[in-house]
Amino acid sequence: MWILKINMSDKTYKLEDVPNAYKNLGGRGLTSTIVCDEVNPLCHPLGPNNVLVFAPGIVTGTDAPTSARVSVGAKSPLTGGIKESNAGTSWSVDVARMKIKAIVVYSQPKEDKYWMIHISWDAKEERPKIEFLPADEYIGSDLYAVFPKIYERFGKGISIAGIGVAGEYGYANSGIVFNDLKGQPTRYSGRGGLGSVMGSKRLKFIVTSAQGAPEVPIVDKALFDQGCEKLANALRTHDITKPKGGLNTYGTAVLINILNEAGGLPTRNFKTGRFEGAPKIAGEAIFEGNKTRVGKEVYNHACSPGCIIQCSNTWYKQDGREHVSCVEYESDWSLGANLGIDNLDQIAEMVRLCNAYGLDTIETGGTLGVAAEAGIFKFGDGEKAIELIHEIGKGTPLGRILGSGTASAGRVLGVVRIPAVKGQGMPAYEPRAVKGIGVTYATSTMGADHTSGYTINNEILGVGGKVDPLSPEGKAAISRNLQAATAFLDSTGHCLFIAFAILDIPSGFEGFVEECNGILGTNWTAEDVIKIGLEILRKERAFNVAAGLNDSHDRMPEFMKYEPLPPHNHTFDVPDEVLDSVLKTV
Amino acid sequence: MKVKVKLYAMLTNRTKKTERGAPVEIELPEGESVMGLLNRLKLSVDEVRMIYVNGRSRQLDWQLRDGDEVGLFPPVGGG
Repeated sequence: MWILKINMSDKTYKLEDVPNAYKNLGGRGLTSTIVCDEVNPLCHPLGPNNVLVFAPGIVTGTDAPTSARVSVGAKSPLTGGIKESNAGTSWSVDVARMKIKAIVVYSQPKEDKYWMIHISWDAKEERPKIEFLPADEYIGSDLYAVFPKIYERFGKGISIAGIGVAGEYGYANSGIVFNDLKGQPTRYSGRGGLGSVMGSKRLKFIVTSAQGAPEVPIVDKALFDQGCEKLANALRTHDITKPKGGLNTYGTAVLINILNEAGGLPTRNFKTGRFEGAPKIAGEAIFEGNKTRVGKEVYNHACSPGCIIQCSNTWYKQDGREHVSCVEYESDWSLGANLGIDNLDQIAEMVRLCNAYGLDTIETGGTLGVAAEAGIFKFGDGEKAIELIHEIGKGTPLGRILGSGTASAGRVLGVVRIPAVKGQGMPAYEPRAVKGIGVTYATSTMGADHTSGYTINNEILGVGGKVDPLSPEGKAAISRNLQAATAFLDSTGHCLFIAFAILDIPSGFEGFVEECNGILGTNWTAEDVIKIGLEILRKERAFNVAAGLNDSHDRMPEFMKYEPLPPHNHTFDVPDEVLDSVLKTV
Repeated sequence: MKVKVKLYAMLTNRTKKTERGAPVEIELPEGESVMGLLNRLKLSVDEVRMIYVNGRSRQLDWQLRDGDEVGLFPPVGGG
């Protein structure tokens, strides 16, 4: 296995053996370790001294089910701290099969020209072949127009990582895009502005062709196979993850009605916890709407190879043609309920535009929420919201302000109610109605991030035990454990959604650990999962502290402490000492 | 007493009485529990994972009161 080091200042590369210290790392554990080892925490995120790291997970590229995730890491232009953002895509499988454990991109070219890198497998030399190619011809364009050109140029079997215009403009809201199984630009490492870090290095795409590449090496194949089987059985049995189960039928947007019922669906820039239009945009409405428009029941598809869960939906137009994939819960909420918009066609168009321009849908909806609060447009005006996303894509002066993300745009526009932590816009769960997720938002090394410690499992979904979402009691411990387990899970290359099954089905969890032991030859136990996860969190937090993020950044926005949220009329009442107890001493 | 019931996701397929999420008024004996309501709707305990009464998460033995709004969900999840 190799670490591929790319130097953009002179367009050279090195394939280095994986150092011992990195041998058992993958995904987030590896990106965060490399960022900690190589990046000065005080560097400008868009300057020459930031590095951008891509790493498939430990089991990615193998037969392990639902494991085609890639982690991307760097210092974040959005939060000013460390960032890891992962996505599911065939690109990560290609990289893993070419025996590349991580791609590390350094420096920037002197001249203002964009480049792309093509990585293919050289069967004769038994190593990856790396080519630098000019990419200026792809700049300034809609990604839905550019992706087909790349496929035409390199052939159908390739995978693509890249940026849209948002990354070219240097927006703090810009993701890194990966292809889905149809070759569309829809799978995003969206959060934290990593697209602009790639753009600052004048790197437009990394194209992979893994034809002829070998299998990923496995130390103990029998143990690995046993682990895969146990995990696959758990995924196929659990009601949430099984075929034609909750996620495969309704997609992640099934949560819209649930959070609305619980009074925790942030509505109109976090003013209330209920949206009267929720049933119109919920996962059930997407399923029923598609059935009417397509003329049959449409179940969801996989974002990446080897997924059992298959939760990615497609929204169809009136005439039965595809509008966009995928209307996730987060996007449906941020561009729907959060803006007071109850029209799925308008929401789908906004998701499509975010994909086309290279934007994070959560951050885009959060930013438009503060823009509506500032009177730039009216809540509920979907047409105007669509126009504003076009302004972001065109780089008009207002568009550039909105491209800077929720916190920066809110400050510029004089907004007090800014739902963000460490500069990152909040996702789709109201922390005043679901206290544990607020603990995660406040303390996560990533800024407001639901995935980094998904307490919704316990507080709302009744997975892994059930607790009262409105009570602040015991939430620090739940959040800490989930943050640690997630840091490990994000290192394996598995999708976070396997958690639904492995938290409820013990043999699934065993299989999950056995897969990793099989690949690496380790003897990890359930205790090691938490220990390794905490070690990753410790590194990430140390980076953040050195970057200037201290306890005062592990806090909820002030308005959530004094403004009660209807319908339950709770404020965020988890004491600051409790927030400090979550990760400060790990 | 009367309570309003909202059924979501796959649960609607089981009763055919209601649209997804549309509240339906149901007459119940005074002091009936959530369990009693499920029996009346012919829903099994395994089918219902989340129970909300007036927006608060409740258990099967929770006693309902006149005018309550009940939301029932099967095991589903997302993110």
